[in-house]
Amino acid sequence: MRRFPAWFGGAVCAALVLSAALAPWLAPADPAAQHLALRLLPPGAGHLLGTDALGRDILSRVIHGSRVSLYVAVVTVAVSLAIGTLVGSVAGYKGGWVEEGAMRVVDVFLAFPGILLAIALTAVLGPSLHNVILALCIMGWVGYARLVRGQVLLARELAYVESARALGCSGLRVMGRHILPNVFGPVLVEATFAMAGAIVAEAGLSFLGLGTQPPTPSWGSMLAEGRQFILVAPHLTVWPGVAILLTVLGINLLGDALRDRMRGTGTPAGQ
Amino acid sequence: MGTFLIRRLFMLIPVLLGVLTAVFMLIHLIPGDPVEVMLGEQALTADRAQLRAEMGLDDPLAVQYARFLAGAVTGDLGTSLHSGRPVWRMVAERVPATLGLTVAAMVVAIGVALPLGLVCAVRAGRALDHGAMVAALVGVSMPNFWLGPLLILVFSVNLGWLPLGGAEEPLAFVLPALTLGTAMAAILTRMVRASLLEVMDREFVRTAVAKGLPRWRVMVRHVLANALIPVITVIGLQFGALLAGAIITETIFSWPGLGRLTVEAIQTRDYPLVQGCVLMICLGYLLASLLTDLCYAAADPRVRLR
Repeated sequence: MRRFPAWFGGAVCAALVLSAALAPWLAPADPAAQHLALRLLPPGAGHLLGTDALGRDILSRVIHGSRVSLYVAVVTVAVSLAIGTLVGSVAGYKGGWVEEGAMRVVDVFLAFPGILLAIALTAVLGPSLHNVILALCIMGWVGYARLVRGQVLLARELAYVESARALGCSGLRVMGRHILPNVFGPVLVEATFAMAGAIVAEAGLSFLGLGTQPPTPSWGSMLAEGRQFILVAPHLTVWPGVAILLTVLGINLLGDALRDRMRGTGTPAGQ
Repeated sequence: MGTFLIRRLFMLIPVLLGVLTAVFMLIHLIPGDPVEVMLGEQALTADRAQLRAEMGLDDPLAVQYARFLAGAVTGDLGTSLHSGRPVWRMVAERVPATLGLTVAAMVVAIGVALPLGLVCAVRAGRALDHGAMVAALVGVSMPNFWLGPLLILVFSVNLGWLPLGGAEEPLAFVLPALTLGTAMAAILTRMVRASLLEVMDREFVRTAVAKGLPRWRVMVRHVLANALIPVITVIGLQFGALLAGAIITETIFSWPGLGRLTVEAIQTRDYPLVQGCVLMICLGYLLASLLTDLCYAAADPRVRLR
């Protein structure tokens, strides 16, 4: 029972990956196929989760929407992680003006609250999925840079790192072979939570019309379309939201479990 | 405390300069000709030339930057492309509505998190604690652009208790404040509980209990006073998240605040207004961070000595 949250989180993440990978086979219909005679149908036998204002099958759109979410989450986290790790490790290892300069840049990025910078950037770059990813990466590397720098600052004073330096290892080797592999635990936990953040951010930007553009199905744009019909067809609003909630909840639970494991405690999240 | 304040204000200067630079660069990041994007492809050449001259886009970048900085310091952020009104005035008019909503959301969050976190810590490991922690996790994971429409569906459409949107009556605050404050309430509840549990385990608390002090007095005088110090920081940081979250919440509830103005400006490609809105939200966030640091320093003298 103590491990239930971790199992649940893992199962949800596995379901997300499977749903994204097998979407063309799992979806009962073409997510873009319009059937105006079947518009706004409630959930039923023909369409398990109903249809939207253009008669498109909601279940198929939710399944295909998982592809967008997973794609944004993976690319954003991978790119942000690479940039943040590079900046943070160089800043932490070199110190001096390199560290000072890098951290002042980080401070400026941190002065933009939450999703604001991503909204501003997608507003000027134009609404598209790739601009969303670009904006989220520009916003996302900062957290990793700060975290990695802190970890490197701690690690570089440890005896095994000093020994490696005393043996004549180059800075690159000390960093790549001895420091980075040992600071990667907290970064992995941060990356897990960042995936949930990226999914919510993409959905939020698509909700505002700045992200994924029609007819590509995205959970955020489905919610925005559903909002217009909330009085007559509330199911349009419910299902994409359930998909986002379950995905984010699952990833957060997995992140909590990973964090507890890194700390060496089996204590469930939040305790 | 005076030295701490001066040091903190001094540290703010490069960050402010960085924020102003980033906001200035927004217009220059527009792919292609920004004037064409703002006025549309069908715009007359004369109109384009006029806008270009008005915005000084033909000047060297350094000159534009210096003019932007001078304008930002004196409160001149240009004029809105659509209304023709000064951007600073349009932004300032919307601040009270956003501030009111943000404060209401914070009241919701703190009002829920403090008592719930306290009860969970006191009854850690019991059914109530587990239930509250599951609810907190769901609250953290629930995006406000879904929660808002759901609350409208239940309380406005089905029950008819609360208005669908707008800010004309006091009841109109309820749903937007709940939408904006729920995630913060969930984060704070977890934080308050974890912080209380950590402090309750300290030796000075055991000493207070061993001295025979009443339980409530130990909790209020010794545990809460120490446990709430890190919570202050989280509240301050979350204030910024609320300001950004207000953009979506205000859009859902047609709330006449800064967030809705930002979205309207984006939709009409009124980039000087977008710049003004972004700058104002950032300034609000920086001010909240400063106030948080000051509160933290006032509550914990060790912070002032660092």
